[in-house]
Amino acid sequence: MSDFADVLDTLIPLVGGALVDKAKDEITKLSEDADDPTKQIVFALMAEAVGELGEDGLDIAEAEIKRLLNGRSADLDWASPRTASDAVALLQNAERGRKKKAKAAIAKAGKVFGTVGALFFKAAVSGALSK
Amino acid sequence: MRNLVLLLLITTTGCGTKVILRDTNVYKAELDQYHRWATAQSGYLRDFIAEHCECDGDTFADAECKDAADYVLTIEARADWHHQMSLWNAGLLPDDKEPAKNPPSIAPLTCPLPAGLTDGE
Repeated sequence: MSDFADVLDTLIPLVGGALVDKAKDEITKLSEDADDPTKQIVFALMAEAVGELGEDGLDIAEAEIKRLLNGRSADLDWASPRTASDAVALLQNAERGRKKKAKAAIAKAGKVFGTVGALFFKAAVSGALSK
Repeated sequence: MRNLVLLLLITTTGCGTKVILRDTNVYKAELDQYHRWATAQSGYLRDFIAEHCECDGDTFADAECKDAADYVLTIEARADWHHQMSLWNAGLLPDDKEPAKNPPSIAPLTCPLPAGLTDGE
């Protein structure tokens, strides 16, 4: 996330100076070089925002990308269909990951409750027998 | 009982994103319909592009043709994966039907359009 903020800080004056094409090229290059799929999508969205919306694009992109990264619905009208698809895939995979974690946690909790339940049952039975 | 409902409300609301409960059959019918609309439109658009768009080298001469072609390639490559992921995340697919981790890659945009799913391939 800090990389993302750094890039924005560096590029906003550049775009403000009407060097939109140069900024778009710079961000596209960052996107291609990014080792992480999330970074790639963020940079691709920024590049397309600048290309489509000019110097206002970065502000709009920043707000919408932050919504996206927080798992909220984002307005990505400026994005190409393939980049928008990548962004939705990111959200869908994140939801899948959360569900898998929740499923694992429930399974673990079930085991713990099962064990605790069995202990209580044994204690209750042995208690009843000792009376 | 009232305490149990209160506990459930506290633990399920107020933090994180909103979770929506939907009728399973209606939700699935909607998803299927949107999927059919997208893929059918993509097929018609592909035919329209083939008939009306011109190439300038290996790119489309017209910007609208280029944008339309990008939609066709994206829908052909990705619509099914997104549809399956929507069903999977809603718990509407069996365990052995989990979609691949990465969505399929989208063919590069070239003119004329590369052959696609709607060409019967």
